[in-house]
This record gives sequence, structure tokens and C-alpha cells, in this order.
Amino acid sequence: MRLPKLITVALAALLVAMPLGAVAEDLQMWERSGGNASMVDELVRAWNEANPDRKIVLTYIPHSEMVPKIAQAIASGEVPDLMGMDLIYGPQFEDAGQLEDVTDYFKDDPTLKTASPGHIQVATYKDRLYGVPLYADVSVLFWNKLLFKQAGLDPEVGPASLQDIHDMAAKITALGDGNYGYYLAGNCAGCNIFTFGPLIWASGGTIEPKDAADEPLTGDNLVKVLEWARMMHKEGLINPANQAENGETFHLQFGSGKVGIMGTGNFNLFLLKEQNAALFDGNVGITFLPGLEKGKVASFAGGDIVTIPKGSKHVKDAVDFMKFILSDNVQVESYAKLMNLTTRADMAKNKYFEADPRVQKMAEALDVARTPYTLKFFELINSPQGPWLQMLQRVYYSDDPIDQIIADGKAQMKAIAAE
Amino acid sequence: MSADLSIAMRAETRPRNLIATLWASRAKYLVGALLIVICVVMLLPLVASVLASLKSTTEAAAVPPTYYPHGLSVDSYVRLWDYQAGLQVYVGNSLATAAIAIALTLGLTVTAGYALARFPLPGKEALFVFLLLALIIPYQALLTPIFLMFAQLKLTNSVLGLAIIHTAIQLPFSLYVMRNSFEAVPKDLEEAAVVDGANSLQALVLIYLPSVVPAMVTVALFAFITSWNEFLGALVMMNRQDTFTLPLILSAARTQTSIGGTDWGMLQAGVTISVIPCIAVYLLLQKYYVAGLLSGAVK
Repeated sequence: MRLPKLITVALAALLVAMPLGAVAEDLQMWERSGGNASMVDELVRAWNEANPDRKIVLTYIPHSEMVPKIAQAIASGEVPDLMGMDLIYGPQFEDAGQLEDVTDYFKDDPTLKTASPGHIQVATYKDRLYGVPLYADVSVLFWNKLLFKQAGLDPEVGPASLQDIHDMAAKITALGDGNYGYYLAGNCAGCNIFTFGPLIWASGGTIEPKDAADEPLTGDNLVKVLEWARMMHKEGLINPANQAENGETFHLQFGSGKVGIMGTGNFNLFLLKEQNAALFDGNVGITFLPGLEKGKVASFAGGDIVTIPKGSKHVKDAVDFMKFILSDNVQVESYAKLMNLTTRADMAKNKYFEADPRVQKMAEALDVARTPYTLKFFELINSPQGPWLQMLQRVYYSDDPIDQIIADGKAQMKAIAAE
Repeated sequence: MSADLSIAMRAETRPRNLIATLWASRAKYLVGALLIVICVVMLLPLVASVLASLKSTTEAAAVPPTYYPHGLSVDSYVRLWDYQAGLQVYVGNSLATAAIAIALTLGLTVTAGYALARFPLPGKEALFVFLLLALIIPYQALLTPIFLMFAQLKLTNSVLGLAIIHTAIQLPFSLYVMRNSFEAVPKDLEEAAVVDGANSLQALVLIYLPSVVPAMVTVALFAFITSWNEFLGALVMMNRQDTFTLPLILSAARTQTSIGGTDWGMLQAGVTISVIPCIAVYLLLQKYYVAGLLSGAVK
């Protein structure tokens, strides 16, 4: 009696499963999870509203699996029509010839001229364009005005140099009660290139090599910046728990209200609104990440670009989506309205940003921001076992001579670049 | 003295009596305490996870984290429920995949196990060992070729395609269990049926299947748990979010910032939801499950 029932169940299950395999004629778009999902959701929503006959179906691919997943999709020909990806991986895919060349579609498009230079730079390979900015993350310096007041500092004046950060952080740490002056993530390569890298750039140093012939980790002041970081750790101005920070709670540190000054990204302001309303409402100061000298600043322009993988069956429609997100209306009514950075510099002056000077400040950071251009970003910088994080951990937690650490870092980076 | 000695001797020869002896003496408090400690160690992560899932959004994001929720909230569940196409779609996909995988696994291994245990096939031992060889090849290594093949057969993005992979992962172990439990059924039963005029299909359905129910339950349970938790195959096979299974969505939903920030409340809510079916199925079938393990292992 059992067997016929079993067969019936199996057949019924097969019938249920079949229709799910059918193919829809909408545009398929992939985006990595864990980027700025609320922004991408809004862009797709706006597009679908304006284009009911060619809707986009959005799929988030788990962040850490994005690169192998794309590579496999391209190999099998089962590609989406649009693909949002971490901008840093752009050159790698362009170099491999896996993206559709869209240069000619944008020949006479004026919006491209003001589009975020960092994004356009990594979306360009050998003078051909392969993508446009999807959204921008920039790193800036947040300070907690409540703690500044408690420590007797002027809450309206943020740090303008590394020395300032040190002095102010010392006063805030002296408050005790679990408060610390500054924060750096001890076990997160990505967090460090995003928030510590700009401190080096603003002091005139460089980090990654562009290619095998390029010298990494240069600049006379590099040593001084690393010595400063070691001092911050040694003097206990950074919560010692940072040594275990692998990025999973990095975005929550400032909102805890226990950190005086911290390099973080524009996304943190949005998160803060939910996490710590008292801090969000008028008690966050935002300024640029400084260098050794006052007046020298820098930032890391991250975020995503949107590209068209080779093999897409709807290239024309996909290009239209790219133009759509760069259009004036979407820049203001989607990006700016959601308190996200506009991806075009000339759109940063708008009614929404004018209402909130903090967002205005972050939008200006795009002008001083840079994006590393390398085919080996993961191996050089982002890898948890890579030379960048290894170097910083020795700086932060060991007593090895800084010169030696830099020399080792150079050797490792050169070896990777030469592969 | 002699009584003690005889107890000790009996305890040595029969372990069941050792337990009974321990339980009768004052040592039972010690044993009980030990068992409680083991239970606490095993249950603590689960309880911590459930408690964390009930924190409010603000509290779930607290640094350093709080030990228990200061106020109950279902925020995390609501956020997970509304993620993309809605959690019910993903749970539905996972359940459908698991159901098909169970049906395919049982359909294949019951018949194969029966044949290998009961028919006088030439070289069937070698065949059996050959079929078990699949255990030593990691299925991860086969995924890309399988994906390319399935893409041609239009089986990607389909619950059926994924269920076939999950079945393939589960086959060697299930076949082993089924064959051994068929062998454990006394041959006299089959002979009696044959004398009464049953053919081999009738013998299978009327005589054998009722005797191997525990093994079938074991196979079904393992197939369910494997399919329910499987991540990599689903990641490779599924390209559209409305076909994603629960593990994929939990992995995608938890990342909050581009530098790897995690939404802890949502992650714990996902863990809690994904554990429930496993516990429910296990509790429902545990009686058969234990018997099934024994009937598979002891010939």
C-alpha cells in the first residue's frame, strides 16, 4: 500500500516543480548582497514603474560568492542582462573580456562627463567603457558630539590632522566608562583600505602597485602614518576588542555611542538613524579623513558599478537602464531623496542635500576620493591572508621595526603583482 | 562483600546493569548533574540564538551585545519575512526540493537495495562497492560539469534539477542503509510468500517494505536534512531569486554593508526558522529513526 502512495507524492511534487523552470522574458539583474540594497531596490522600482513592458527582476547573490558565480554564469552562457558588482572587481572582468562594451552607446551622453570619476575609471579598460556607477560609498570621518562635549572639546570642530585625532581621542578615552577615542578594525582588510588607506593617501603615500612595474607602499610619510597608528593602539585609544573585528560589527561601532572619532562610510549615517537616534539627531559631525598636515584630505570611493555581461540578450534595454539611473530626475528623486550620494557630481546640489549639510559633506568627499585600479585587488588588499592586512596587523600589535614591516609588505605585493 | 562482588561482576559482563546500578545508588545525582551539564552545553547556542532573534533592531545591533533581550520584538522576523520575494517563497522552494529529493532517494534506493540484497546477481558485491565509491568523490568537484549539463537540459533554476543533485549526494549512504536492512529480513519470510505464489514485486511490497520501514525513515530523514541545509549546489544551480532556497537567502540577507557588516538580528531569526523543520521532523520520526540506525548497522 505504501508504494503507490509514494509514487503519487513523487509525481505531484514533480508537477509542482516543473513550472518553476519556465523562463520569463523580463530583464534579469544580479547584484551582490550586502551592498546598498535599499538604493538598488529603489532604482529597480523606479525603472519598473516607468517601463512596465520591460521590467527588471532583481536577484541578490550572496556577497562572498559573487565572483565565482559570475565567472561560472559567463562560462555556461546563462548570464543575467545586468550585473551590479563591487567596482573594485571591474578591471578584472574587463580584462577577461567578459563584459559588453558600451562606449558607443554613451558617445553623446552628457551625463557621463560628471559621473563619479572613481567609478568611471574602473569601468574603463583600454579606453573602452564597460559600466556606469550604480551607487557610491565614500569614506569620511565621523565624530560623536556628545562625547566631545563630555570631554570638554568643542563639539562643532572635528579633527583636521592625524595629530588632532590623537589629541582629541586621548581626551575622550580619559572619560573612561568604556569610551574610546578612535576605532580601527584589526582583522578586516576591506575596512582598513576604506578608512585607513585614505589617511596614507592624504599624507602623500601610496599603497597598491598598479602593475608589476609599479613600486608599492611609497611616500616619505608612510612610516609616520604607520607609527601614528601604532601609537594609537599602544596608548589604548582604540578599544582592544578591535583585534578580533573582522568587519561583521564594524558598522555598529560608531552607533554604540562609545567611540569618539571613527573613519567610516556614508552608509553609517543611514544605519545610525535606526541604531542610535539620539546620536543621529544633530550629534554626529562629519568631516574628511585627514593626513599628517592640516588641509590635506582623502577618501576611498567604493560602491558598485552596473555592467552588462557578454551574452546578455537585452543589451539595448540594459543600456537604457544605465542611462536611466544617470538621468537628472533619478539622481535627485531616487538617490538624493533616499539620502544616498548622487553618482553625478553636478547633481550634489539639490533640495534634499541642502536640507542636511552632513550628506552634503559626504557628497563633496567624492571629489577628493580615489579608487585603486588594479587587476589583483583581492590578492593585494582584500584577502584576509593578503599583504595589506598582514602589514597592518604587525604595525598595530607587534613591536617589529616599521621599516622592516614596510620592506616585507613591498616584497609581498611585488611578488603578487608579478604573478 | 560477596554481594558487592557479584554486582561488580554482573556490571562488567552486562553494561545495562551497570547503568541500572549507578542509577539505583547515590551516584545518580552525579550522573544527573553530568547529563544536565551536557544538555546545557548542547542547548546554549540554540537558546542564545533564539533569544537574540527576539531582540529589537536597536538591541540586536548593540556593541557589546546584550546577553538576553531586554524587550521582546519580532522586528528581525518581519525584516526576514519581507526580504525580496518573501520568506514563504524560499521556505516553499526548500520544502519542495527536500520532498522531491526524499521521493527520488527512496524510489531509487529501495529498489536497488532490494535487488542487491536478494537477487543472485553475478558480481553484486563488486557492484555494491562500486556504487559506494561515489562517497569518496567530493560532489563540489562535480558541480560545474553538472551545471553545464543541466543548463542544456533546462534543469537549472528548477527545483527538480536541484533535487536531483541532492538525491545524488545522498544515494551512496542511503543505498548502504537500505541494502543492509533488506539483508536483515529473514529469508524464510520471502520463501513463505513465494510458496504462496507471490512474485518478486509482491514479495517486496507485501513482505519486505513493512519490515524495512525504519530504514526508509532513516533514509528519508537524512535526505531531508541534507537537502534542507545544502548551500553550494543551490548557489550554483539557481540564478533567480524566486528560485532560491532558504540557505541562499539566509546568506544573502545577513550582509548589511559592503565591508561585510552583519545584521545579527536577522541572521539569528533565520537560524531559528531554519532549525524548526529539522527539529519537528526529528521529533516526529525519532522512534523509527533510532530503530532504523540499528536495523541498518546490525545484520
